[in-house]
Amino acid sequence: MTLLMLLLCAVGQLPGGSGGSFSPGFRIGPSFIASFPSMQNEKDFADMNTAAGLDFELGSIAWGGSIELLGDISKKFRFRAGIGISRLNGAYEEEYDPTTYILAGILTGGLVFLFGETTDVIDLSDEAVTIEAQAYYVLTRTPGLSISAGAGPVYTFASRNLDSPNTSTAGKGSGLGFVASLRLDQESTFKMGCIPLMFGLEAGYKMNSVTIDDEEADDYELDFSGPFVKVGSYIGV
Amino acid sequence: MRKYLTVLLPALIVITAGCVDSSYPFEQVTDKFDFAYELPNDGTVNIIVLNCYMNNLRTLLSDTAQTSGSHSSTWNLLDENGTRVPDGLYYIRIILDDLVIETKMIEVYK
Repeated sequence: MTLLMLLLCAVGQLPGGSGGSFSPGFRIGPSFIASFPSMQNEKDFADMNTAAGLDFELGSIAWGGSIELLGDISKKFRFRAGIGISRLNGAYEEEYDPTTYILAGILTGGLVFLFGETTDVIDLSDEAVTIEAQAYYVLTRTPGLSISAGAGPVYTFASRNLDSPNTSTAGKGSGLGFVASLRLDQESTFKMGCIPLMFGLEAGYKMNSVTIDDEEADDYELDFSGPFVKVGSYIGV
Repeated sequence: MRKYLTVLLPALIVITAGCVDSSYPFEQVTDKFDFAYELPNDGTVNIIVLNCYMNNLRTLLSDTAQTSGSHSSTWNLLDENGTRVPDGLYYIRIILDDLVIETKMIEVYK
């Protein structure tokens, strides 16, 4: 661990890609993603549940995260490669019987109260694992700040899990899509020890609709397409 | 450890019992599903069964003229090919003159 820190520190002392001058460099770090997927099929599914008398709540934001590698190829071009995961949930919840809940709370010394008063009766979970590669054109580069626009392919492995009290239905599929975005990167004056730190903000649109392969699904589409916002912090390596 | 189990186990049983007692707004069936429906007026009725991917698995009633009032039907949990459907959630749609007037959700399990 100490050796790794020393190595990172040594590399961190090398001239970075910030500022008006350019020097090639790589950065790696985690990002937090919020996306607004289309999911028209899931919206129809939620409506069908509502029509059946269930107060089914489908989320509108898919939350997720990714690990990304950023690199400057030249003064005007950079690339990004990343692997991420995002999840959209829906559920029909029921409250515990109040007497049961209180009794359970007493028996567990209050432990049950930590988990809330509701339980998911019907639980829908849509998940997308994405592998992305994107090339960017640097629009402006000032000391410590750069704005770039880029696009690239995204490959999505998607799954859908629907759980009810006695059953569980799962389906999965994969497909190729496309992503286009604008990103803002800022070099931080703050360093992690001696390792340079950079913050990134990215917003764009992803087109990644996946068809569930299972026979039962009969070409059911999980459409994760939609706008997204991503924030991340990166360390120079 | 035993102390925790003696406290947690009864609590879990109580919670589980509480959940089982809960009257879900859907039927849980293992054999067949008998259901009733009410037609507000005379018309042409279609009854279809959809799976959790909203695919039509079975047509129980096709373009049948029915009068207003109470009616009943049964689904034997078979699809159009006569195969028992897999465990899961299913939806029965009662359509009167191309308008869905009722949707019933059922949980099918063995």
